Amino acid sequence: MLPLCRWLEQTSVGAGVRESLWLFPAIETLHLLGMATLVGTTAVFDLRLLGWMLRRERVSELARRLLPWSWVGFAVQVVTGALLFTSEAVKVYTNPAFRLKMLLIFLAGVHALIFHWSVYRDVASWDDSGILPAGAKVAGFVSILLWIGIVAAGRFIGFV
Amino acid sequence: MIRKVGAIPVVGLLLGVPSLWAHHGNAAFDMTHTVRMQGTVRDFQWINPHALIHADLKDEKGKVANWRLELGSLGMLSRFGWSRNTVKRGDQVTAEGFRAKDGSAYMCLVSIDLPNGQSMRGSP
Repeated sequence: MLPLCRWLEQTSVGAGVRESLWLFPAIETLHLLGMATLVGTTAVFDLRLLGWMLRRERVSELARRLLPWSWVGFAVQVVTGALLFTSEAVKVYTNPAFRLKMLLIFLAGVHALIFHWSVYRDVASWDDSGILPAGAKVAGFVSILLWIGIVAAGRFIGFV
Repeated sequence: MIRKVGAIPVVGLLLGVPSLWAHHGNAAFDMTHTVRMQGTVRDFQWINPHALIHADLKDEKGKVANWRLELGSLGMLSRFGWSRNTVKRGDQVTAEGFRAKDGSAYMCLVSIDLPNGQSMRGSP
């Protein structure tokens, strides 16, 4: 991976982001907006699963309205995150907070898939209820913890 | 409503982590006093998020080490009059800055005296 990181840094994109006066903070701004969109919509859905908010809304209806925005946010994060990574790939690749962040994102993805294939399959039977099955609550709780961890690990990249 | 109380310890825990509040430009350095050292520039990196100078500097005990000098952002440095060519490999300089608290050869550069006699501000 390190040779790939070295190559990435030397591309014109990597050098451009690294040496530009305004591009780096501009991309960081988009990365923060993407984070707000992704984590905000995901957290609202998770809090519904926990039964902490929007208890009168159908879970499937919230999923239909919120999760497309989560995907928009995720796409923004992948693009802007890749650009930021390219600018200092070697340093970031070896950073423990960055590695933890990537691991947690992977786990959040696996967790979302498991939720979709297990608990969410019979959403019709608990769609309207304020109190959800334990599996749904656990999923909401785990998801929120993972996203807090992802945000914190990302913020710590510059400090470790 | 009672259930929302559960969120308070989580938020409190995050607010309690000091590093979340400290910019790393300050937290890692001993801001109580500056050190001043002379030496030779080995490398100048005009990069985001902070520009860097590597220089062999002699400390007060006469020991020479390869120091990492952290500067401000490229935007700030531009306003202070810097460009990517302000410092070059081989330049004889005097660096003044805040040392890293962990004792490593790392400082937050406050100002640097260039070979032409000019003194440049290194960070806000």
